[in-house]
Amino acid sequence: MVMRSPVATAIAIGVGLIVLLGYLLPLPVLDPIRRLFLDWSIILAAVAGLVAILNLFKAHWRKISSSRERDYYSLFFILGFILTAALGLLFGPTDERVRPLIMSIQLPVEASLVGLLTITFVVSAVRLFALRRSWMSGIFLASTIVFLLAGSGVFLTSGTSQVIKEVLAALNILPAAGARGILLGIALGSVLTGLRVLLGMDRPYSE
Amino acid sequence: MSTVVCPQCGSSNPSENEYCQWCHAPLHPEATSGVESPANSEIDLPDWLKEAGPLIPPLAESPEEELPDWLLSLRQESKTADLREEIQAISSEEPFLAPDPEEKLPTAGDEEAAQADLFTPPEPPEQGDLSGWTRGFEGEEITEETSHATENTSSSSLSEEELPEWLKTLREQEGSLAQKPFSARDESIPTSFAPKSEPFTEEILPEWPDDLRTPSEEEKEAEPPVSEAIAQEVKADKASTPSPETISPFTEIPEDITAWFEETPSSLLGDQSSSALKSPSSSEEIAQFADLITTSETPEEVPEAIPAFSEDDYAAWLDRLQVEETLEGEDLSNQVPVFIEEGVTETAPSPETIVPPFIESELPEWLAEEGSPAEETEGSAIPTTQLPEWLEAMRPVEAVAPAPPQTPEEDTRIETSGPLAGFPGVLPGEPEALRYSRPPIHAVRLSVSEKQRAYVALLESLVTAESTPVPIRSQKLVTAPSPILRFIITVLLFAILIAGLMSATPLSDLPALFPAEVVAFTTTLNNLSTQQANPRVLVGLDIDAGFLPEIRISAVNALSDLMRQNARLVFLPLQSSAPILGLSIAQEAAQQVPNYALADQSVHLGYLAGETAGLAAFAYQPRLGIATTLEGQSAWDTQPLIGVDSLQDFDAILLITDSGERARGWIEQMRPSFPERPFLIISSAQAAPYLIPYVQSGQVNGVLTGLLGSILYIRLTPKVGSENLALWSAYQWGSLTITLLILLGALLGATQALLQAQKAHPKR
Repeated sequence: MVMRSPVATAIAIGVGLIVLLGYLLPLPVLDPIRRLFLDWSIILAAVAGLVAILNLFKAHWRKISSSRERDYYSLFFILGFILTAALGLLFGPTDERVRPLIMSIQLPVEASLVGLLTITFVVSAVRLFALRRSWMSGIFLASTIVFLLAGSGVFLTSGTSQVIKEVLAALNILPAAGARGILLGIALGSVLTGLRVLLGMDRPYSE
Repeated sequence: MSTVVCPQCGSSNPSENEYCQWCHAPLHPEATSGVESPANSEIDLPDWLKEAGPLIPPLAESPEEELPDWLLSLRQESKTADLREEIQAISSEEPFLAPDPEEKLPTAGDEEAAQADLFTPPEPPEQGDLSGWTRGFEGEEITEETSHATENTSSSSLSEEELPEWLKTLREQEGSLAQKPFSARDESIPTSFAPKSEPFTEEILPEWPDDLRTPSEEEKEAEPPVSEAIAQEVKADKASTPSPETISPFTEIPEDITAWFEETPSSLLGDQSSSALKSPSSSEEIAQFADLITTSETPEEVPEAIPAFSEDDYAAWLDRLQVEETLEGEDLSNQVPVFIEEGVTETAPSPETIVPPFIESELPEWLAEEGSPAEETEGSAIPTTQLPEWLEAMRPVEAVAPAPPQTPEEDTRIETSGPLAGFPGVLPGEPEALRYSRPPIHAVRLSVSEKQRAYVALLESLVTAESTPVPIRSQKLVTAPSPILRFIITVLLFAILIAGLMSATPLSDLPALFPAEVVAFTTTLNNLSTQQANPRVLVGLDIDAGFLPEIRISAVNALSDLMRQNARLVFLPLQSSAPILGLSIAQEAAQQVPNYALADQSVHLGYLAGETAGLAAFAYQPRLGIATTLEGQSAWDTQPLIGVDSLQDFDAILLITDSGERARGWIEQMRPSFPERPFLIISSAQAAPYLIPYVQSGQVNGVLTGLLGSILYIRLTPKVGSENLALWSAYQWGSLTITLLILLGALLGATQALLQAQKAHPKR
């Protein structure tokens, strides 16, 4: 098997091993190297963000300039991008004339999207039992109703009986247990992914 | 009109016909034979072949002088050897039938005569006398002896010193043997070679002697009985010196005597027999032989002692004689003994007539137990043994495979061209194609256990299932919810939420039960000043703008409580919009604490790129990750960051995030460099399940999640005017409305399904 990018693989493995040893072995020799690598990673990530912004602008510009199936919505993006970038570069991000662009436009738009998502979930849950009648659908609907009621705080009043309190305490264990399992899985997966990258089995940088 | 009988088919033909009118066979074979009339064959040959000469020069016409010396000597040696074998067989097995060795072997006087005959042409044979071919043998014998004598004389001409040592020793041995009298050597000859005169009856005699020759009545009358003839000859031998002509023409000698002699073990004969034959025997010994014959008076003993023979037992010398007979002409054929002629024409003897070459009484016990070969050939009488299966399985393939077909006849083709021209049977007589046979079929039965059978069945089912087409279930098309339903639900939710906001009447009383993580968060946050005056708190902003309204109340209240403790706040955003959000939240919190100098006590660092890597760098060395503030100033020269070189210089970390994944990144990267210090999280409700385990494990000191967390925090830190009952009322009404909608949808769906099932199956 011929390695497609041996140099990149060697660099990735070497850097990963040095950073890992810097965590495990606090040697004075490894600290400056680890610090240098981390500094480079931050700079590269920032440059990558800049490249992503430029790529996004280029993609929408292509949609506008395309002679076929021209997307006129991209024009709003191009105008908004130019205006925001110009104001931010001109007045700074903390200026009072720039801040409403985020708080009065971006925040309501994103919050509205979350509200629409809520309505979509509700409609889907209403139609779920009509479309798919199975015991899993029943369990999903039952758990949704129970946790909606528990999260609404109606059982957190002082008049709540002790039985309900115990039931609520037991119900709170279920999501915590599930989340803990997910976290354990994520941790094991992270270790495995790191090992595969260190061993050169996964080379996401070569694709 | 005279007729001629066809020798081929026996039909009568006119005498003038040269060929049979029925079978077209030549009526006068001597006239039409190519051998007899070479002139005719020359007429048929092409010119070039005539020039090349006769194809096969007739041996009879070729004089002995034209043959090369080596071929002549070979012929003489072979003829002499055959004759010696005959004599040995007769003398060793049936001495009463054997002629006098002195008669067979030339004497000194005979040698002289033979030398004279060697240079004279042979006399034509006489009818009624000893057959010519036996005379030829004698002549050859004499010739051989003469040649030996010539060699001796020639070799004697050489000086003894010139001879090699091994030849000298050989000569010495020969000389000692020649000088030794026969009588002296005679003592070493075992008498067991002579047949024992065992008494026998006529019943035990085999019938093959009668079958061998069935002479006609005239011959029976003309010829005396065999025993009488032998007796007469022996008596004549005793009376006078016998001449070769008086010896009976081997009519009593069985034809396969030479073959039988070849089968006789040489160990039994030893050198004595040969020496006895080679050397002239004494007259006393001859007399002993004659006495044996006369005293036994059992001429019937001959067939018992004579081994059986068949046509295959004819020695090669007999075939050669037949060839010579045909080549030399008709006269030579007349010289062939009668018994040979009859033996040729006779059919092969039946197995019953075959007599074992050895007498059973003479055989050793171990050999007698083995049985005669004739008995072994009778395989049908012996029951076939049943080999065990394992032994049959171990048999080689050659034992089971059918033997290749063998051509019974030898390949007599003569190569006509190439370097091998003239050699018969050069090419393989058995073509490779004829050797082909069907490969043996082995019955292989695999021993399979039940478990293996189950596996095989499972594999077969899997393979079969792969090739079997499976009907695709017709899935119901998921249609998008109707616009009316979506409109109804949207309007209903908006109406209820607006009604809740407007009424500000929650469905239930304010919460009086507080989760442990909320209590821990509140306690930790409000006690920072008790541990460290003007605590330096790192506020992480890793939140999107869409989730800010959910956590905005709790974030503002928490920051205001920190401001009340005169904490130094350092805002570190990790999202692109987070710096503005953080600035907005800080300003709103500062409004609740008018005495707090937000510009001096707080600093907004710029955007930290790299997410997890940036966090790791900041945790390793804060100055490495961020260099400037949001306004572009040097970050580490501001008041809140003076004296900060590491993460340990912060008194607490407050993370405001909307995602559990981002919160996990913060905990994993920051917590190892920030141990035993308060780590608090304000998050969206969706991240609560991810954060509870960290709270339970002690890595996070407290969590506020969602709108409920903000209400609970407000309830725990009572502030005048901070309770927002309208928002709490809208939240509860909205949650209850969604629950009811889901329940109604489930009931409608179940009812619809029942109605459809009842329509499809009305009997049910």
